[in-house]
Amino acid sequence: MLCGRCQKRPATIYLQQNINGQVSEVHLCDECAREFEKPVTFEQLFQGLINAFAQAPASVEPRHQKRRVCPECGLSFEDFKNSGKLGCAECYNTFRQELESILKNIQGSNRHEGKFPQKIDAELLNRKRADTLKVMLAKAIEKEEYEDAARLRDEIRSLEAAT
Amino acid sequence: MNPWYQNEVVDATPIISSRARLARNLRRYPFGGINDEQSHQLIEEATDALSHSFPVVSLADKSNVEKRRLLERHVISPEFLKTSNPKALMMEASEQVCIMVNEEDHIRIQAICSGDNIDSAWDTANRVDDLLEERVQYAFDKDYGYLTACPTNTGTGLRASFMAHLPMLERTGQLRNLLAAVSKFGMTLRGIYGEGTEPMGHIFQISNQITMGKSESEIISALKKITGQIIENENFLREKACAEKRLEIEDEVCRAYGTLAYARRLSAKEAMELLSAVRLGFISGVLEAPKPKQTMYDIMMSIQSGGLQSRAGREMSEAERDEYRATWLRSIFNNKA
Ligand SMILES: [Zn+2]
Ligand SMILES: [Zn+2]
Repeated sequence: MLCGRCQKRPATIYLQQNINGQVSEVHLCDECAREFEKPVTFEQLFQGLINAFAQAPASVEPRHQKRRVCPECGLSFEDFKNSGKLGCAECYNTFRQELESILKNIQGSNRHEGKFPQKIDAELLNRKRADTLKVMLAKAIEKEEYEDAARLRDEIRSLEAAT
Repeated sequence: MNPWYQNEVVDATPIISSRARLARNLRRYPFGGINDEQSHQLIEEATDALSHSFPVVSLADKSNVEKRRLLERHVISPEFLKTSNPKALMMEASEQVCIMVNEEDHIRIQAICSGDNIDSAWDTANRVDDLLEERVQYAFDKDYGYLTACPTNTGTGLRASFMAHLPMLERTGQLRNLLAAVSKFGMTLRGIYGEGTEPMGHIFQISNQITMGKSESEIISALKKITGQIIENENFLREKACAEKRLEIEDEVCRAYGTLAYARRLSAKEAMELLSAVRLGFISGVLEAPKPKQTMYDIMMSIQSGGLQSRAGREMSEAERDEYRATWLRSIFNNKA
């Protein structure tokens, strides 16, 4: 196996990182490992991870993947693999499928928790409210409370229409 | 208002400063591939949104020495100087808040507070973010949060950190063990680098690595907890050494003080080692010599190459710097500065 960082020398050292129970791994050559031990920059580790991912046999429809480029900035998944950087906001939509697992691997999660811009807030609140109502709807149906269920379903529909 | 590093709190405990950095991008512009015309538009948009609150500092007017000084003071990032596309910097005189426009991300908001004060740093950065958000359209995704050029920043875009002086943990070799523990909690610990590639003056930065799946307040409270543990260890080791090997420590810190007060040539590396020992001496109470008027951290930053040359007002060779550094430190440690 080649070193996940330089892709040149054979990997001799195996590093594991445990983030919130999410284990990520990299294989490094002696030289890269030595560098790695000093300034532990996440970007270096991360580069290895993207490459490891790109080589994984699980990658879906490789033919399809190679040709796909971001319609806004023209970045391909290959470009992203090489630089580790996305080209624009639309890249996150273009490569969403791949990013789901890449983010999960490097961040331990692929969902944002925390601050939202106020402008987007209303829409988000609607979505969150709809999610809660869906749970209530399922319960209502289970309990055969059809009147409640109908009311909840209408409310969910109007919330979803608003977003 | 005085710069934050002149506040004596920076010398009171192992924690020198607390910092919160937010990475933000605007929806309308590409990230890395931004051209000059778009860059100018971006700069105009960002500076307009904040111009009432923060003065714009022209980077083009700054000399290389002055840019280096800003880098050493952690006002700007190495990345900010690396690429040649148009950039803007907004900064308070206290250097407590600075906003970089057109770095790796369109906007990097940074707030630094002296000492153990991460909540206040976060509050400040958060408020600047709110202010900006009213005027600009951020690149934001409901699932992924704030979108950044590098997926390691996506989500909150928050990098919260403490800068701490950890001489005891480093000399006892315990830092290595801590490193593993720290990364288990999604945090990193790394040395602060000077001219060379070696960590200097036993100063380290503890920061969060994870920006997704956790809210800003969760990130900050986890960072506080981990840092608290590290500081507790450092304090324990220091007190233990001072009780058990007092003479040894006393000898070391007094020699360091003596060298700083009398040496004729000092490299940045040696000076940092000496200043680190003297800081340890003051914090532990072992060193009874007069304390310089400037804070130890301020002195440490002032002897870096950019700081020195900016003080001297000219560019100097390495040999010239070593001599100038020793001369300046002599004046500081003889209380003549
Ligand atoms: Zn390698
Ligand atoms: Zn794109």
